[in-house]
Amino acid sequence: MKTILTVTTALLLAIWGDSAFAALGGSPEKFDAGDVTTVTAKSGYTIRNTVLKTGTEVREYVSEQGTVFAVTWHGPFKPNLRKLLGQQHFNTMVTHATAKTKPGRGRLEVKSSGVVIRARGHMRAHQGQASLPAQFPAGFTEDSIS
Amino acid sequence: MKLNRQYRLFFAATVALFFSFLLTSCGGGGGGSAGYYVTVNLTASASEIHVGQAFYIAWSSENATSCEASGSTDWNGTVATSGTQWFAPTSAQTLNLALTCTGPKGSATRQVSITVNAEPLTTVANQVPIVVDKGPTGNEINLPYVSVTICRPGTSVCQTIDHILLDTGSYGLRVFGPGVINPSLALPSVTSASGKALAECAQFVSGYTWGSVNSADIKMANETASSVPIEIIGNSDSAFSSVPSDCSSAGVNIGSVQSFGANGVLGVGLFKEDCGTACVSQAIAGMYYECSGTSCSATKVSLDKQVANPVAFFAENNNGVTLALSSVPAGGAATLTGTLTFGVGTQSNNQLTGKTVYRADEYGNFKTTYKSQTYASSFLDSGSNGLFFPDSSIPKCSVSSDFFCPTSVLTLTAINSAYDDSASGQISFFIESVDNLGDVAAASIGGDTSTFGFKAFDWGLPFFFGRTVFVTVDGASTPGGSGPFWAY
Repeated sequence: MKTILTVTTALLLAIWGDSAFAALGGSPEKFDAGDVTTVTAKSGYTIRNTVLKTGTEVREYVSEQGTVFAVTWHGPFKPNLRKLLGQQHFNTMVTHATAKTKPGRGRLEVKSSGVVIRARGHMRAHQGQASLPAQFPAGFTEDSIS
Repeated sequence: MKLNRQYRLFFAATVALFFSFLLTSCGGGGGGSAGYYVTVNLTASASEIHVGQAFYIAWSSENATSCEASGSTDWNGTVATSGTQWFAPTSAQTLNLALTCTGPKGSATRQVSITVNAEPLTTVANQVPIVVDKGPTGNEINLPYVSVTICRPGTSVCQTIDHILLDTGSYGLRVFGPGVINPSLALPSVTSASGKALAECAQFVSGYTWGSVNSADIKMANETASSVPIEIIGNSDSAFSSVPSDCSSAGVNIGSVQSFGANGVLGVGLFKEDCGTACVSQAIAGMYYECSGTSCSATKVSLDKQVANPVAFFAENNNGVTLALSSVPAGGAATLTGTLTFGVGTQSNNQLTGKTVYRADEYGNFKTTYKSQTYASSFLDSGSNGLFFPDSSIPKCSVSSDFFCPTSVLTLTAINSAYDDSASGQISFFIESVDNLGDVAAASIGGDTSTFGFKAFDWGLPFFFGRTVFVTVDGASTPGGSGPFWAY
């Protein structure tokens, strides 16, 4: 029974992973051909580091259950944030960044609905990260993001 | 015979390895250990200049106890064992500057030769005023503005637009279409390789701007940049009416005067084009698009069609700019004035004499060391309205949560270094509470960027207060060396 359940979960996860749920809080991104991914195992999670064809590097932090709980990017171009963050967190970013009356110009900082999104840098040198602190594995903190 | 030859090769390789080991041991040891041979390194920032221009030499030595300079009245006698010195020759000549350093084990000499040409520098009016005020929204702080004249190429049909943000963190001119650009300017489209109208999704940290790419003559002071690609943000022409989804996936649409706090932006940072060679070799989703009908698709674009810093198109003074702003006391200033000067080391009013040259890497970054941490992706950005750096120990504001609100004015220090460590210098700065400020347009304020995964110290506008800062474009030559670099 337990085995069947596990298999079902795995199947569900596989289907889940193939659908539109590849994003922060879902399964890892499916990148384009030509983008190069390397995977490093850590204690309690894995890091999927992908160098996009544009030269930008995307790093996904994936739990043992296969869920992306943090993602960072840096390089000359922004990645597709709608895909990387997922529509829900992307919307949170857009809504909250627009709502500020006295914004710090040249940076982006959003903390809302359980997601933390930050962007730094300048044209031709972007850095950013998004994370779901509630989904961090045991022992993982924001400091663990590199 | 064959064996023999292999053996000889092996022997040669072993000998070579042995000697390279010896060399490494000597060179690596350094550290002033008496008994090692003296080495001297001497470089000049330029090999040929004109009267009126300034250049510098930089030198270093290993295992030397003293150094002697010779070759000119300004370069004579005992000097330190490492350092830099500026020269501003007043007559045509060939300068042969030599340095001999001596240590316990002998001495070493190096010489550089600089040709000083007689021809006077061409002088054109190359300065425009900078103003820091509350901007077109009446609500801005720390945004520096200039006025720019935009003309239909080759004609006198022109429009001067005020409150264009002067931004050292981007590249190229972008102006808002609706309500800002006079439609009768009718700037021609720049077209893609297949003849379609070019459009652009410009990526800023806080979001994106979507607009068309058009050609314009740009005039500032007595300088003209002819047929420069610029972006008309929010162009209302139907061809650009819908933002492609992979453009809007860059985040927030900041394509309005309200969200930008300016009528446009003049990017005068370290690069000429806003994309560069990456967009020549691949169609990058979220950068350049070609449009026909009402649909746009990502396209490759040659360098000459990319939105680019107009300064690089000037006939003279095209290697960079100088920003000079008055200083701002604690408590802030209601308005602030300054001067934007075109050219670096090209005329008497933009010489680098006495400045330190901070070289930047291929991304336009250098290093800042703050509280013992080194941030290797740091930069000077006049378009950032504060000093943004990682420091969770400074209280944050309750109202303006992006900013620090220390209980009293906080004096801090940091060290900036060239990306290749060829120069470094200490910076002293202060941070005051945003929530305690009165009705001001300029103040020394900042905000926390958190350390998590970030390696950047963003030196926003307050860095420029009371300073003259040189910004030299990638690949451009100056008497202080080639760009990209900042000097101050």
